[in-house]
Amino acid sequence: MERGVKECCGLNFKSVSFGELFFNKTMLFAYLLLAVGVVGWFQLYGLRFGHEFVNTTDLVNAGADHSRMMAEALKEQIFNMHHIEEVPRQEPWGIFVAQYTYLLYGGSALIFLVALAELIGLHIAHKASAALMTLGISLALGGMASIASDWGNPLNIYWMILNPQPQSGMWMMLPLYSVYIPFTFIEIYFLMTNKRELAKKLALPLVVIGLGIDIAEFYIQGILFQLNDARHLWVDFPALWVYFLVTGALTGVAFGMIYAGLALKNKEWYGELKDVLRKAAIVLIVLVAIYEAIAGFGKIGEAPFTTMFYGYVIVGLVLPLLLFFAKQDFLASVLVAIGTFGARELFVYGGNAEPMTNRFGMGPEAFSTYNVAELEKVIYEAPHSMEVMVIIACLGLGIAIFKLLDTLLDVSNQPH
Amino acid sequence: MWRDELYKEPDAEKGELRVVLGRHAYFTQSAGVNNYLLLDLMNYNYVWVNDEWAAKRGLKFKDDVILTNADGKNIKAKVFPTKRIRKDTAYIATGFGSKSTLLTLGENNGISQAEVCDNSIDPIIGSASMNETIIKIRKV
Amino acid sequence: MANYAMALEYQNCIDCRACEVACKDENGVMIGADKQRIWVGVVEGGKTLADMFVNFYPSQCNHCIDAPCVTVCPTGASHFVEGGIVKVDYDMCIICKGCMEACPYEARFVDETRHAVDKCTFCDGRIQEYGTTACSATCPTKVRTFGDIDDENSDIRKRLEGREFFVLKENEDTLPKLFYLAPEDEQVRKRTMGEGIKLHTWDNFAKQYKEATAKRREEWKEA
Repeated sequence: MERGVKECCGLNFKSVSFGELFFNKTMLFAYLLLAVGVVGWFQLYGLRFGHEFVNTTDLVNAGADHSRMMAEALKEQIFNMHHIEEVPRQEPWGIFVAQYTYLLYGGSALIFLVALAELIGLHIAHKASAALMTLGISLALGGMASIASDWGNPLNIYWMILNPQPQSGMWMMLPLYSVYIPFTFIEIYFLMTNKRELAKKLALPLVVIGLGIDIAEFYIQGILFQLNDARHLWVDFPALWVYFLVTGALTGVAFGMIYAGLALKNKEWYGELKDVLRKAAIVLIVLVAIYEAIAGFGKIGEAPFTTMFYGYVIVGLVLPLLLFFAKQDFLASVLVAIGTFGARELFVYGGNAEPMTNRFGMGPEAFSTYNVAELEKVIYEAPHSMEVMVIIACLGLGIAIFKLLDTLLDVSNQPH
Repeated sequence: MWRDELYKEPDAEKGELRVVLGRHAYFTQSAGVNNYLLLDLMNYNYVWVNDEWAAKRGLKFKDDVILTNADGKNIKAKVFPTKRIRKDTAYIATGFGSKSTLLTLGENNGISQAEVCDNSIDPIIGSASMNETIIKIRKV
Repeated sequence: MANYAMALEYQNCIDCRACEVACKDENGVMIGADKQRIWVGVVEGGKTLADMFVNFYPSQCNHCIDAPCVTVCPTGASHFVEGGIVKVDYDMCIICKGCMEACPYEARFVDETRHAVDKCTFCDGRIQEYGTTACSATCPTKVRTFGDIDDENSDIRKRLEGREFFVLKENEDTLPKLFYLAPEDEQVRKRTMGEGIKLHTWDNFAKQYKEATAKRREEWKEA
């Protein structure tokens, strides 16, 4: 047994001090991101549960005794509603859902690629699979924090268990992730364990089942978006789950390359890992480009969607492709990571771009005589600053989870 | 009997418009100025101007303008350009802009048409002439 | 068993918004510009002052028979009740906004005072006591006819059987129960009705609805 390593249940835990575990450079960076999020979460839940809103029943019951706070709330709601409402009715899903799709699909697709690499027997898989899989699951958990922040009233979430709704794509996420997350940790366990005999026996079944669950996951996510009949960008999208898988894989590869560039430089297999990731990235960029050309996001021909689309294509696809060919991997990966976030924003906001108020075939309708002058051809409501702060924290959460697991288990040193 | 010399025509090119007053079906007299159910439907009375006239002056919806009436009083307002009005006319809905400080929702919540309109009296009936005011509008 | 629907003679609407005020007052809805269970949609048409027209479309939740908002709800908060009314159980809603995304008519909104997603409920509770919804009761020009389409003698059946009507966004296959009565004048129809709107008569429509209702009726929870 090496010095400073404790074995438990087949895993080699590094014995580290409290300071090393919680206060290393990466954790401090994650704390910075989380601190930004704390401000955002405070404002968000303050608005949801702490802010005074009035309805007609309150005012009638209060009668002549209404408080100063009720009067202020009334003034705010009548004259300034746009500034204090959290969710406008024409833009229900916003940046929280975009961040959730970005991190969750990125992490899950990275796990998928690692399992695929194990299946086809790539040499680098024996060295790097534990690290990349842990990175993948950490990002996925960060994405779930984003969607949990989106729920305005999360206290009622237990009804998902008490009242199952198997016809709903969103409900299917409950059984799916109850299986997927533990299963991925089991896969990581068997990649890291000292019980190599057992690991070798279970390797093939685990990988195949893992690939199957991953595909089921993307399929369910595709159904989730396509059950919304009215949002034609999502419903008419050809093989939506394949699009999620391919773009998620691109995000995952980019994060893997960034992680390798920051933490794995001193490994002897670093160059080999970079080669594999670079080739995967180039193939994925080409696949995503084909998909965009067929599905045609440029269909929404109005600002700001055209800017978003061209920004995403240039920053996320074209420039990185050139940089990958020039072997500037780290920079290319950073650009891909930014660009694919733009792709998710475009997807989520683009689904809401078509005004639902065009119900009579006479064009979008206004709510009142004066709002007729404010009708837009496409709907775009910019996210609140508190929402942006929270999604930054979700990335920080993913980084923190990964670093904790890495410090304890040293995932880049897996036994082979 | 119509007498031409008594008719003043506003010069729309120079920014003079005749103000006509009216109401919406859901916002009538000034009793509604503090009513939260009605203010929920409409919370500001924008000045209607013709949209071509407004486009020439670079005015868009909710832009600030200054109305100057015959007494020289300047009133700040927001403008609503629309096809539904003539080029030499502006429309303001009544019932907004109370000056009473005791009203929670009603104080200064819009343009007070009483401030804008002239105090001219109809010579036959003796009531206030509502549609005779000519104001100058300019962009802020 | 009842199957509630509403027929709208929208040409009669004068945009007085008495229905909006009655709904907010009756149902304790949050005050705010677009926090409305029911609203009057306004569309301007025409190009010059000479041929301008304004259409008023009284609108609300369509209480669709095949409601997509009920399908996507992960906690079952969005559900059917007796009478084919779609309701939200405020104690079960997590405000995931999936139902808001699924609704093709933008009928739902987040009510911050109830901490849930809210929408028109056809005044469920009031209709058993008073026979009709608050908005129908107060409309001065008799735009709205609320009733039970399963009852042959109801007012709404008599109106629908005598006129041509259309429903909104028919190609979404939601089978809405808000029937907009088409204008009887040919000229007005040409000017004020949008492209691609199919007109129906009750005879060719009833069968499709009866079949769809029979399929979903088991989901209608007891009040």
